[in-house]
Amino acid sequence: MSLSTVNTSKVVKQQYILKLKANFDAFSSLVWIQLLAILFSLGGVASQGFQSDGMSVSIKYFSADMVIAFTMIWGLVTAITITTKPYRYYDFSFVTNRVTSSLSNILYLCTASVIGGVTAVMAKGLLIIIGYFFLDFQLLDYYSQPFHVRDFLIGNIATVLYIIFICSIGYFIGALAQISKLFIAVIPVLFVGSMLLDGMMGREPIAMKILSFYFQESSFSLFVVKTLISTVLFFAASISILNRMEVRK
Amino acid sequence: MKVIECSNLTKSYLRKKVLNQLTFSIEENTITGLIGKNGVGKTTLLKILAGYIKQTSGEINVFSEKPFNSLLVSANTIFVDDQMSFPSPLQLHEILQAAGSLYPNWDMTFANRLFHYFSFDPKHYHNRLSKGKTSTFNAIIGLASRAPLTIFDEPTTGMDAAARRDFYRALLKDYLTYPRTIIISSHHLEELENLLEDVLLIKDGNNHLHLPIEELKEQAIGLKGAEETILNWTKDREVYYKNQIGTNTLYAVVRNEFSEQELQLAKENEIEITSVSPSDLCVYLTGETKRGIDDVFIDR
Amino acid sequence: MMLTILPAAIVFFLILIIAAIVIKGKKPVTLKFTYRLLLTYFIVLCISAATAAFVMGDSTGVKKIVSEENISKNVKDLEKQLNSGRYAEIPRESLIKHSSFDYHQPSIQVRINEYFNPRIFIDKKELDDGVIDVYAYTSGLYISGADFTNQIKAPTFSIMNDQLEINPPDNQQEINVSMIKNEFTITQFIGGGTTFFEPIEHNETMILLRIPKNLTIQDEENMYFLQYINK
Repeated sequence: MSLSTVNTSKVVKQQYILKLKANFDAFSSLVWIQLLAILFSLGGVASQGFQSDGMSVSIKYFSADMVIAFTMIWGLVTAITITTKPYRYYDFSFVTNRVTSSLSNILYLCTASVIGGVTAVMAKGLLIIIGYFFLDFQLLDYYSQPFHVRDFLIGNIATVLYIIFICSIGYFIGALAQISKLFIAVIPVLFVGSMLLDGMMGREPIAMKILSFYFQESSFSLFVVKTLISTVLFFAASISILNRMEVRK
Repeated sequence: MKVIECSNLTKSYLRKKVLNQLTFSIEENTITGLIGKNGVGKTTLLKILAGYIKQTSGEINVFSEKPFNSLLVSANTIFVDDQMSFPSPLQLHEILQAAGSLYPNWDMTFANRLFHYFSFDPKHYHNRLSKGKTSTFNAIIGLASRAPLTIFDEPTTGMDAAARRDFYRALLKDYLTYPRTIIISSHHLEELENLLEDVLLIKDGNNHLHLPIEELKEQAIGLKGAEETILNWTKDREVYYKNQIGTNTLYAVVRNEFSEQELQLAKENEIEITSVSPSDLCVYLTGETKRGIDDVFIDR
Repeated sequence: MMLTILPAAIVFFLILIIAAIVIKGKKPVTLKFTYRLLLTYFIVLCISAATAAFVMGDSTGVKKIVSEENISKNVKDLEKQLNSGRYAEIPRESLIKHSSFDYHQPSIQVRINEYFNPRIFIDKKELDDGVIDVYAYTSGLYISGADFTNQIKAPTFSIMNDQLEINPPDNQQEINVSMIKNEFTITQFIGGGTTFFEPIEHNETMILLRIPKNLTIQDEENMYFLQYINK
């Protein structure tokens, strides 16, 4: 038989479709996790109280913050999972090289992030409905029309970007762990150690600085640039790590 | 064209050298049997060829490319063994579809026919199959992919005799219609004798022997007779194997360098001459010592 | 009532999840099931979103918004009006209670509850008509500017022997408000706060006592919260 030429992008695309199918059960976890988060949010994500003159006022705050947080964790776990041996080995039963394997993984994670992010933001509607019809919310709305289009768009994009970013971190951690299980121990130790050290020196812990670099960026376009570049960096690093891994040892 | 070129290939794990300066090459459109004892490095070699693992030193080229991370090699090669893994949520028919979407030469009709012939349930799951059925399914994928380099590592593990026969027959028929380079590593050389063209024998991590099977059939000759006579006859010859049968009878396998007259002479000296099958020969060649298992029981 | 179901619902749901995981382990969850689940969930979300938008816009809880300057203005106005005796000018909404008592004794004690000490303005009437009028005024309850004044319950007035008792309303009044906030992914750029804190303005109730001309109030030097209005 004569040799077939091979097209990298076609392989990546086919692998991506295959992975969507093969990993689709991650989306059932997504649904359960978000429902759970909504359930937890029904008591309010924060509250404020006030008392005087024989009257008490209690304000409960509701938002999809918890749903978003849970979805971020889901993204992290999903990303770490697909770096483990069984998942990496599947590709080698067919046509692949390590770069296409990672690229199709990344495409899959991006899709998962979009689905996870959009559903997380929209979960707020479900929260409001359950609260209003079943739990007798006394609504006080003027701050946040939940579907003010601009807010909705910004919320969606920012949430999706956060989730993809976290996926890239998870993928990177998973890739490191494939080199050596030691990394799983080393990273948390480094993290905690640096915080302690900074605490003793009276400096702001480096972890806080890193977090505020993203979480307190108030310019939307700057935020997009920051997260996109960071995501690309993490994915690139992961690809180069996984590019040297032997399979089916 | 040489599909595989391997020179001084070495692979060590920690301090043990599994493959040691292995050198050989394999021509296009041949069926080669990879033979050797358990643990000698056959699977390691095949995994290097498939691009799964990297060599420690030495050179290896498949389709004139380094196989590790080569998309070309991956698209034109398939490695079939019993450890082939597929995503667990996929049903069997979905696995066939996946293979079809990635392998350029995949023949779905052929795959489906084989699939139904061996009575697989399309909605079944790969990790639920019995050992024999797993091997059969993996073999179907190997055959239907029509990959220019098709590697089978112990493909008949767990298969019953009928399935094995069917597999060899299907392999041969398809090979004749759509020629490709095939490497089979197996312990059942005796079953493969009609299938193979070449034999590559690995011993001590090295290329011990790489010959067409026809030559291998003529390579050695078995001599059986009175102990002394045999010893005489084999004195200056390459002896592959010796075994005592009964009180005074010795069976020896020697390299066949005898001329017609010498053979005639041997027969007159009451030496029984038998041919040695490639399978038996390989066993003798790869034997650590020249004795047999019976020695374990000697002092009891 | 519904709120007590919540913990039970959580427990039930957790059991459901655990059961699902156990069952899932036995039989693989098929692609079709997951696809339908995801699709259903997404449709539910879409419908909820549309309904929620409708509900929010139509919310019966939406109150009038009053600006901060107006709030303080209202307080000052009320105070001025009471102080100068122009209580007729006070808007009707501010009056939350009016009681009249017949009282013919020459003096009276005014007692207030330790938790409830409003300012009390005293206005001496022209005549000795033997009637004490007690008025309770409020300048409003505003939560983040939303007007909740109509939820304020009035204090209770009662006269026993020679004591006028002013007490907070019988039932501790509870106002529960649910606020929908934007998530951090939005507030990060638009503002609206990482803090969950709303300004709650509750201006104290003010009491107006209109007493007969010659009625004296016992021990009034020690009652700092009493204030005679000047006309």
